[in-house]
Amino acid sequence: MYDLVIKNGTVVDGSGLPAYRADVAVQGGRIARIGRVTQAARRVVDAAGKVVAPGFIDPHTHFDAQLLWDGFAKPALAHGVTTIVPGNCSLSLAPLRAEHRMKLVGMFNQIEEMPLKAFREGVVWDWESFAGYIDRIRKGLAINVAPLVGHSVLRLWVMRQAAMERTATAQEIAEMQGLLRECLDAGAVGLSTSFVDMDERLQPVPSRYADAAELDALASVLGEYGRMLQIVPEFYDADLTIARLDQLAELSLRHSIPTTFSPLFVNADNVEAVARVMRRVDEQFARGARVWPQVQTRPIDISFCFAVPSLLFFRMPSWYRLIRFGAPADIVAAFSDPDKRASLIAEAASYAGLWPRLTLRQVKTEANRWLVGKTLGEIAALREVTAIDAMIDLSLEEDLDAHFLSAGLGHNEDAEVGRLLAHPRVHIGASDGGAHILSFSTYGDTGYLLGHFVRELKMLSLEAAVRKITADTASIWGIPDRGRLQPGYVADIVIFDPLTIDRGDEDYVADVPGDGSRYVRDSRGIDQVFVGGALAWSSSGGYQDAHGVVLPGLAA
Amino acid sequence: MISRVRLGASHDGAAELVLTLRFDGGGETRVALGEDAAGRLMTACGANDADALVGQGWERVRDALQTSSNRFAESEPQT
Repeated sequence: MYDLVIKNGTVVDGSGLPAYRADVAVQGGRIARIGRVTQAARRVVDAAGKVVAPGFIDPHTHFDAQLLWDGFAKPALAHGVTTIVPGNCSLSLAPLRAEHRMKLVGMFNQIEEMPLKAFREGVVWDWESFAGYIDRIRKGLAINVAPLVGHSVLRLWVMRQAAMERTATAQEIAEMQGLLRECLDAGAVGLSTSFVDMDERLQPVPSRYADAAELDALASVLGEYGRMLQIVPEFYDADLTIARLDQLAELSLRHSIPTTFSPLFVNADNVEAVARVMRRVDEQFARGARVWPQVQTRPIDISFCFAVPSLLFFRMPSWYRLIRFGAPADIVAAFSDPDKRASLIAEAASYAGLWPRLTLRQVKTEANRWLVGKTLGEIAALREVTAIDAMIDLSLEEDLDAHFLSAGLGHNEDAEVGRLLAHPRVHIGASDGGAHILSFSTYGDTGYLLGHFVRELKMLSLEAAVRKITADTASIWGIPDRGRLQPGYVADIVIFDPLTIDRGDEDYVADVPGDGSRYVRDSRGIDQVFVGGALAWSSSGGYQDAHGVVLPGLAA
Repeated sequence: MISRVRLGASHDGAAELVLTLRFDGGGETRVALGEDAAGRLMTACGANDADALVGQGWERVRDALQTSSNRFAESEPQT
């Protein structure tokens, strides 16, 4: 008798080969058979009309802190993501001396927008070593985790304050190498570093003080294990990005390691620059290097409220002066004065097309809460005013704490983004799951890929897209036995409706320790998600009692 | 000098100012400024409108970035 049989589904097995109709049987947490299954099972799922695929793997997240209070990494699992990679961008929560905890919390707060209060009230600091952190998150883990160790924390551990001041000595580099080995032995999937991030004092993070010799020495340790090096390059400049990927290529070739850099954004005015980056990626792959650019699927949205200056108004001098130099009382006074208000509205008329498209994201009064999620155009129609009037009125009603969103202002050229996502040497990732929780939702990128770029725009086949977020990711990161539906592979499985899969609407929920809130998205079209053969989430029953593991499985 | 100004969307969802700098040799590069640095640059250049930045020297951009970056340098580290 099998533990689980998924019958009548369309199998998209992660290989990229055409989908086919078959049953999938699971025994002992692994896939036992794919084909016609007649044997009985403890659980039978009818997947008629649905796709049965490997669980998705998200290679760029910052769930390091959330995993301490939420082993499901909500809502990632609900989107079909069964494996996450935290610890990106030089930041992990281990190894970490007790004396550096608040320093690291400050960096997480600055770079990844994790609230300080969540750390204070949601984290019991009972580890220092990487193995200790792994033991800590393993309790209650429902999703699989392949954690990176951050270069900045390695430096902090070995060099203490000097990590933020200078290059390392030969002795310190040797100590970092030893510490990295400990982390890799404890289950780290690789090392992350950053060339751009700033700490809470707006000074470079520790990894940015490393010289080339230090990175080479650490890469040599990665070579002993064949593990990943992830970097954040100077992604806003094509030439610097190319220089970094050349550096990565040399490290990849010298130490025989995979490397990846993230993010890579494409906009209307940098299409040629991104094309140059991709030409160099192709050249380096042709040399035998592995330098995987990570590209996110979702566009970048901009949000703002009038309590904080925003450059969104940079071409409207009266608005910009008021918001930039005015105190909140000045802004309220200007919005309330009929003449000044009329003058501001007249200036905003040059951008008449923008205002109705803005969405109300967040308010603090109960009276306006029902309007959250509506566009200013919709709210204006309800109130029988113009959209710009609606924005000003809502701001006054909310003491300037009404938050608005302008969707899709960056990484927004569908044709170019789709072309990149389909490129054989592009790694789909860079979701940032678990980060920026007060600015926007970092979940649902896989649904957006399969709904928008596959179903609506037809820029990738379903099989190719699934392969990119399953088997390709597992291969790139050296994660064994996952990412494919194949007998013997671990039964991380997602069942979804190809006609409806998508990301849901953004929502602001209060589920962060310390009475905190965050932006999330629910999933659409996902039916059931299995981790290691056990039901982890279903559309009808929500989160279940699943057991994830720490990959790549070397941890004791 | 600054040859072009446009609105950009930063990695973390804030609006940013993307400047194109053109050098004497004909080369061009782009620099992204966050709100604070952009505000300092506009103030230093006496610009009411970001488009008035076109034609300003690259040194102004360097100085704005530097002063913006240094604004927390005197604060105590959270160790």
